Amino acid sequence: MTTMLRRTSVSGLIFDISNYLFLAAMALVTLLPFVHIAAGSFATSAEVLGSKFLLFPKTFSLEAYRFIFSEPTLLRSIGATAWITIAGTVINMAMTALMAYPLSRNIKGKRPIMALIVFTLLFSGGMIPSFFVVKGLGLLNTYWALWLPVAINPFYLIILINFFRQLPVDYEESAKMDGGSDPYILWKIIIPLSLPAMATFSLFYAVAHWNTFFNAIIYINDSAKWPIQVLLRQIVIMSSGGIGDVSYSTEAQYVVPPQTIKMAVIVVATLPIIAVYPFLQKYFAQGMLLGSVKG
Amino acid sequence: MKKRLGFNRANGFVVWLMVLAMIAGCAGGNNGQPGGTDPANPTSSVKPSASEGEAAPGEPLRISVIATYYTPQPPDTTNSAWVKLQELTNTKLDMTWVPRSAYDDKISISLASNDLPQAMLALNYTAAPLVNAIKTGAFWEIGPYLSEFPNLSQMNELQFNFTKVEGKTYGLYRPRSIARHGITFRRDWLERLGLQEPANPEELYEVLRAFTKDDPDNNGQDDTLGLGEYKDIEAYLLPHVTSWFGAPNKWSVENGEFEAEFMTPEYLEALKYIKRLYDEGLINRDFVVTEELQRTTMFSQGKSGVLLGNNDGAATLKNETLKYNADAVVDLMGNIAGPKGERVFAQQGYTGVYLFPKSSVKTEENLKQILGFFDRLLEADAINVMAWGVEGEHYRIVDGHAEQLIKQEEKSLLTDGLNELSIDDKSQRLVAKGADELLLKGEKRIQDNAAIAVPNPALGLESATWTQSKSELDKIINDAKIKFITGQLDEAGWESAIAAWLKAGGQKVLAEFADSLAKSQ
Repeated sequence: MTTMLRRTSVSGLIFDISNYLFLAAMALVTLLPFVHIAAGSFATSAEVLGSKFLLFPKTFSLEAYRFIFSEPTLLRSIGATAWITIAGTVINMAMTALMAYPLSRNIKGKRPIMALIVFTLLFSGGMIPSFFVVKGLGLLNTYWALWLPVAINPFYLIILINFFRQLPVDYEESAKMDGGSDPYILWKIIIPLSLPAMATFSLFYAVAHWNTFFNAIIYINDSAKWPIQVLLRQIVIMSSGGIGDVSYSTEAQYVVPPQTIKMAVIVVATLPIIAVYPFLQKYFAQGMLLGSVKG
Repeated sequence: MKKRLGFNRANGFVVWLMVLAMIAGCAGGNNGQPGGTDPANPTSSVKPSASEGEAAPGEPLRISVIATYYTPQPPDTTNSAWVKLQELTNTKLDMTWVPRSAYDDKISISLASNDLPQAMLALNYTAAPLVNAIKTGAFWEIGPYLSEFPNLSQMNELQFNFTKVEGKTYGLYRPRSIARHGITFRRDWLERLGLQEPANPEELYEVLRAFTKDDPDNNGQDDTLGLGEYKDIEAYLLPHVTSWFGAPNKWSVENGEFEAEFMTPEYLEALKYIKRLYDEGLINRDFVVTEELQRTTMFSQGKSGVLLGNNDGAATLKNETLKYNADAVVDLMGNIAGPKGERVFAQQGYTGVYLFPKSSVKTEENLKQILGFFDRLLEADAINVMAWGVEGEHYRIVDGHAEQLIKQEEKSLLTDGLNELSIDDKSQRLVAKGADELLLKGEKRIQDNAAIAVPNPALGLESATWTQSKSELDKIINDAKIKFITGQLDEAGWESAIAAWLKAGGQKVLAEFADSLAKSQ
C-alpha cells in the first residue's frame, strides 16, 4: 500500500518523468490552438494580423465581443442552438431509454426489432430520400426536423440495451412484488442505476445537437431559426478566402470580418458545450451497485 | 394467466397495426406531389405563391426567389428600400437566403428533390448536377421570350453567349465588369526614390527591387517589400503576370485546336519572372501560407509597395492605408505592356445566373410575368433604389449625382441583399457625389480596358471530363507552379508536370473543348 509512491529504481524514475513529459506535450498540443484562438479574440485586430502565433495579447481588448454582441443575430443563434440541444437531448434520452428497456428484457418480437435496428446501423437512406421523408411528414422549417430523424442513435441504443441487461433482475422482481408497473420500474430504479451510461450518452447527443449545421441548412429556411454553427461557418469560410470560385472574387465587396471577430465567434460557439463537461463528471462515478444485492 | 396471455397477444397485434398504419400514411402522403405545391399541404420548404400563374391585374405578383449572401447574417428584407422596390414593380418578393458557404449543397438538394422557388440564382454554373438538370429540361428556355422585353433584349449578347448551354439561353446573367485587373502601388515611395512609373515587366522589376532594397519609406530600416502575395496565386498574381508576357487567358485556340495556358512558352516566361522575384526576395517568401487579408494589411501598413488586384478595389485600399499613414499616396499603375503589348485578362463577365424552374413556374404566362419583373428591374428608378435606397431617406440628388445620407455600414446593410437580386450592369446607376477620385479612376480604367481584354475561349463551351476532373487536374498543375516558383522543380520537372496533366485527362479535355467549339459554330 505504501510502496506505490516509492520508486527507488532509476529506470523507474526515468520512465515516470518521460511519461509525464510526453503527456504534458500531448496536452499542450491539444490546448495551445484553443488558447491561441481565445487570446486572439481578446486582442485588437491589428495585433492578430501582425503576429504569427499569439498566446497572450499585449493589449487586452473587448472590441470583437462588443461587435458580435451588438447585433441580435449571434444571441438569437445561440438561443436557437441551446434550445435545439436541450430539447433534443431530452427527446433523445427519453426515446433511447424507452426503447432500450423493453429490448433488454425478453419480449415477443425482440429478434425482428433487433434485426431492424442493426440494419439501420449499417445502412441509411441517404440525403435526398431523408429529405423526402422529412418533407412528407410536414416537418420542414420546424425544429422537429432536427430532432425526430436523429432521435435514436442505434449504436448508443445497443450499448444501453446491454447495460440494462446486466442490471440484476432481482430489483425488478422485488419491485413487481411490491406492485410496481413497468414505467415505474424504469423511472425509479433502472435509470438511477444507469446514471453513468445516461450521462455519457446525454453528452454525446448534446454535442451532436450543438454541432448541427448541415441538417439545419437543408431543412430550415427561416434564417431566424438557424443555430450558431451556420453563422460560424459562414464567418470562417468567408474570411479565409471564400469558396475559391469566381463568385467570391467578384462579390467580395464587403469588408471581410477581421480575424478577431472570427476567433470571438469560435469561442462563443464552443465554450458553452465545453462547460457542460465538468457538471456531468459526478455522474460518471463508479461503484453504485456494490453491496445492494446480497447473495 | 390465460387472460393475461390473450391480452399480451392482442396488445402486440395492435402495436404492429399502428406501426403499419403510420408507414402507410407516410407513403400515401409522399405519393402525391414530390414538387410539394399541393395547396392542402402547406409545408413545402420554399413557399410558392398562392396565386402563382394567375396574378390578377393590379394585384402584386408573388415571386419566390432563392439567393445567397456573403456576410455573417442574412440581408434584411423589411427595410424601406425593399418595400419601395416591391411597390415600384408591383410584386411581393419571397426571398429565401442561404449563406454562400452552404449554397452549393442547398442547390443540389433543391434540384434533386425538385423543391425550387420560381427564380433560382445559380452560382456554380458549370457544376455537373446543374448542367444535367438544365439538359433534362428542368428549366425554361428563356431565349425566345427575351425579344418581348425592351430592357432584357438590350443585355449584352456576348455575355449571354457565355451562359448558353447547348446553344440555348436559360437564364438571366448578373453582369460584372469584364476587365477588372489593376495594380495599386505607393506613389510616394516611387517619387521618393526618383523612379518613373514602369511600363513593362523589366521596369516593374526595377521598381520592385528598389522598393525592397532601397528603403523607400526612409526610416533607415530594411522592412519594406516590393510585392506582397498570398496563397491563392491563381486569383491575381498569375493572371496579371501571365497577361503581360502574352500568355492566353486559361485556354488558347488555334485552328480549332485547344491548348492550356500553362502549355505555352509565354506562361513559362511568366513563371520564370515570378521565380526571379522570389529568389531575390522581392516577393514575400511565405506567400504560400499567407491569407488574402494579410496581404491587404501588408500593403495598408506600409510593408509592401505594390498590390496586384482589381481597379475598383484601389480606393478602399487607399483609405485603409491612410489610416496607418496619412502621408501615403496610393495610386493605380498604368497598364504593363509586355512583348505582345498591353493585355488584360477578361473576367467571366457574370456572376451567377437566374434560372426559372419549370416545376414552380407552371405556365408560360407566369414565366412572362416573372421576366417582366426582371425587365422592370432594369429601369432607372428601380436600379437606383437597388443601388442607393429611397430618395430623400438614404440619399438625395445633387447636380445629377447621388449624395449618400447614411453611413457606409448602414448602406451596405441596406443594399447588399438588393445587389444580389439586381441584374443591371451598373452603367445607369447614379454616380456618387464627391466620389473618391481613385474610385472613379479605377472604374474608368475598367471600362477602357474592356477594349484590350483577352477573353477565355472556353466560356460557354462544355467538356464532360473537365467538369468531372477539374479539381484533380488543377491540383497537379497548381502544385507544379508553386514548386517551380519556389525552386523545388526545374524546367524539366515542369515539362513532366504538364505531361502528367495531359495524361490524367487533360488531353481529353482539350479534345472535348475543340469538339464543343466546332459544334457551336
